[in-house]
Amino acid sequence: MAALSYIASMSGSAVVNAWRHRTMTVITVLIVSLMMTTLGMFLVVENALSVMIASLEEQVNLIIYLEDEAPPSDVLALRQELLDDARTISVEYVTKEQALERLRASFQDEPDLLQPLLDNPLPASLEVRSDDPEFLQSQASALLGNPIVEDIDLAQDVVDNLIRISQVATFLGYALGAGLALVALFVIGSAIRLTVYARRGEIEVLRLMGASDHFIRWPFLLEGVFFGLIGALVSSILVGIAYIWVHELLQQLISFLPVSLDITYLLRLILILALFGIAIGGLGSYLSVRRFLTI
Amino acid sequence: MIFLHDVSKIYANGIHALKNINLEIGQQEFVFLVGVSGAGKSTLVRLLIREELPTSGQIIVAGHNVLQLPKRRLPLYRRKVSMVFQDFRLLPNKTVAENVAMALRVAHRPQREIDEFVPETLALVGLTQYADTFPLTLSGGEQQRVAIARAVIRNPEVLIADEPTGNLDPETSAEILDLLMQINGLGTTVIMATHDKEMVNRARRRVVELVHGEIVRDEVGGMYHYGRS
Repeated sequence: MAALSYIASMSGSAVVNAWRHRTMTVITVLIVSLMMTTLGMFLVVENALSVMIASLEEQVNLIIYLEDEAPPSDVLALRQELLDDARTISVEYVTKEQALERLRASFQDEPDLLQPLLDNPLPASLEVRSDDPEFLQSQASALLGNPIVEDIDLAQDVVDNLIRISQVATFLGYALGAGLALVALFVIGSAIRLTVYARRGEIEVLRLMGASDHFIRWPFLLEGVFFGLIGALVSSILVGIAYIWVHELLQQLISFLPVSLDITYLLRLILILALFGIAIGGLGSYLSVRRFLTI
Repeated sequence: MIFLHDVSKIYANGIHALKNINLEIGQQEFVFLVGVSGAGKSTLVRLLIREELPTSGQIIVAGHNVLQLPKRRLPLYRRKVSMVFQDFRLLPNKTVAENVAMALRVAHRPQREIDEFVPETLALVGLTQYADTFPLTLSGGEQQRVAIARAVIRNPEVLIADEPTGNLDPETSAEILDLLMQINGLGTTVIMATHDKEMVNRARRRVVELVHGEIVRDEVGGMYHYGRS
């Protein structure tokens, strides 16, 4: 209880301090908000790109052509085995008749071409969809020796390219994100250091009056957290708007896939921004004040 | 009360600011520390409030061995020894009353003490009507009164004033000196570093004169210049 009222009174004095240094406060809040919005925008764009790549990856199918003599129970077992893997999105069984139907459909302008076919030469197949190209690739090589499998069809080039693109995108995403976070850390840290530096005389006087370290540090710490929270609030609003906008754009771009508005992602993003703001605001103040507590 | 034994201070740049200082100041004494700029007055003050450490020697203030104070005990020591500066060093973004109250707040004193002592102390220095104004709107003399109120509200055992009248006109300086002597009369040991000859000659108290970091004169009831008025 005593600790709570202590923190409450310190918060009060932090708010009063921020108000009386309002020019400095406004500048710092602007810088913090700007940096955090930049970081948030990057995360939104990165997320949109990874959604796009994922949707492209879902276009990849592994087609397993089955031997005509394959026992249905074995086919069902294989289907179930594939379905049991979390990386599988769907497995569709295509009968010989359906395969022929599809072929006829694609040649419907020239029906004569398929006329000579007396027997159905097409095999039945399992069409496996997954958003993980590497999984499909490993399944393809594993199934080649299976006696019920006649042949395997996997668009190898497409898969290879997608794997590469997705790896590069992930790497670039992490590298750019880390770089941007570092820049934000540095800029916000400098802004907070300036606000503390502007009041170093005040810290010195308090020291000589016999103020303990934490008496001096707490208001600055809370002020830093306050800067971070305001920055998080501003950037969350801007980034939220941007996310909804990007999402609409995304839906137009990949109209064949229903991309649902991911509220959980948005909430997670806001949480990340808030934690980032609190951490860097508090830590920035803590480290800045420490430099002036030497006397 | 204050005891310095063979204290020397050599700065990193080689300047020998204080040389073998031996000084004893009793309870409730009023002592002028005089000398030209660079004689070592400010260094001595900084050693007394432990803003700096001496190169050698012993310093004991109000029962504390200043050299052996651990860092966490430093705030407690500084609450017993108050400072008044030439440039006032008030907190510009706090009101007069808040500035004075800060001396109690840093010592974690209860609010009811603040409510009681702040108006009392402001009345003592004659600034009751300025309680809610900000320091920078006041004159130099008034600001120094705020600083003195802040220094004495805790009833310190020692009050150290470093050139407290250095930025003030003679008339205001005399008022500040009277205030300091009044506080001395209430039981606080006062050490005032100054090169203001008028102040020293007016008060006729103990005078310790420093030249090139050495004590050359220690005289009770003395004048600024030895043997002259």
